Amino acid sequence: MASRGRISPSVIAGGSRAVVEGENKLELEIAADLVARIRAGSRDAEEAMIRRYGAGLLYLLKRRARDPELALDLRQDTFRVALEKLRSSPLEEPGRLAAYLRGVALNLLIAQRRKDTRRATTADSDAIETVADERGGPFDNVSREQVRGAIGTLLEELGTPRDREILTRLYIDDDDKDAICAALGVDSVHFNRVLFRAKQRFRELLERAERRAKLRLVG
Amino acid sequence: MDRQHIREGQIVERYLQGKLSAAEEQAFEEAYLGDPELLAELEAAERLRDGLKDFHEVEHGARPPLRPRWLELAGSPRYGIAASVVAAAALVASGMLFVQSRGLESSVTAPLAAASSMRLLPLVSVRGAGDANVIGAPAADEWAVLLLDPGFADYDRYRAVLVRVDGAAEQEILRLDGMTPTYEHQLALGLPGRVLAPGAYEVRLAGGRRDWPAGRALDELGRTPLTVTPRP
Repeated sequence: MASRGRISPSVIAGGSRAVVEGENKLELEIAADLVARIRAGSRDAEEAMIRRYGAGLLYLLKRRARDPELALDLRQDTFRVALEKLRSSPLEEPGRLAAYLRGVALNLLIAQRRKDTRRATTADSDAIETVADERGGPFDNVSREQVRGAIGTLLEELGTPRDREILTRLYIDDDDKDAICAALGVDSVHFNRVLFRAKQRFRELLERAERRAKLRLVG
Repeated sequence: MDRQHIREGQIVERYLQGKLSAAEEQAFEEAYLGDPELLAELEAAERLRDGLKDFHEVEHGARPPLRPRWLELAGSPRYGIAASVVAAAALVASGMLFVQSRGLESSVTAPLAAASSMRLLPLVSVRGAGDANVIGAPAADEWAVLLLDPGFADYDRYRAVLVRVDGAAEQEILRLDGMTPTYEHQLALGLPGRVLAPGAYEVRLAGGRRDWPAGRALDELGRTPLTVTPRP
């Protein structure tokens, strides 16, 4: 296992800035630009890459590794490996930077699982700081009780038992859309509308709970 | 993998179910790695999925429903301070809009400044958690602000009616028309503390739109139970 150091929270937490920065660009253009600038020695570009892909990589690794601590370490190693590569040689498909990072991350995870000695990395970067960072997803401060309250509110607002049944069959029973539509006699448009609005509303409720959780943590 | 394909193909849900093909899974993971908005949507869907399973267990009696932590938070002084400015504005507006208040004329016309303190009480509509809205009776000189979540239906004005339901006959305590969401998109219903004597209540919410014909009745949106217990 490589260093237990973490990428600076200030770097990763700036993900939204990366979105604003590139809101009118395609992912391919942004990625290719980052790769070229990193190759040219830009430390700003290295930080921008970490900001842009850090949260997604952590989610992916947590999901695959089922171990938050290991996921944090592997994300750190992924960026170390990637920076070493990007500084020294070009990517074959620079527009597919996300695919490259995903590949590195999953390879590191496989190596870890095989109990192989993971590649010793020597790359150092001002963009990677040894600052503890336990940051997770956008709703990590929301408690289980708050989620339950949000679910209750959502179900109450859905209006009809049939719409509630759509969510139950989809998320609890893991039924397919076609099977749900056939069983409940609803068309695809209605299914999509219910699901879209339910998820949108649930996000609002979670974001509100997150704000309250942060309020509680102040002072 | 574009947004329309992700939405129409239930890619998020199928990913969480582990039902995507290897190629679809790779494409989706590459898509959310560089897309914070899609990542947030994915994480919210995962919380919804986990939360529904948890809620389902509770609703079927596996465990008693817990009082939401934020409900306790909402009663804390810190929360009250943070929201009091907005709530005070809502209270003043509420006082001006009372159209009916049986036996409470002196209360609602009493100056807000006379109140010793103010409590914000978010009400929760939770199926299977009937005791979610249990509060201690406010002091007589205290003001209470009931925060109601109007949901995401397409209405722009609301009516809230507070009804006492534990007597032989229902007793309408107060009615507020023309409400619009204020603090955190919630409806604020302000009332003097002494109105909330210990007992069982319901807040009945209805919604409508300003561009509806004059005679059209509001849509009934639901009833939220509220239990007021004696002060310790």
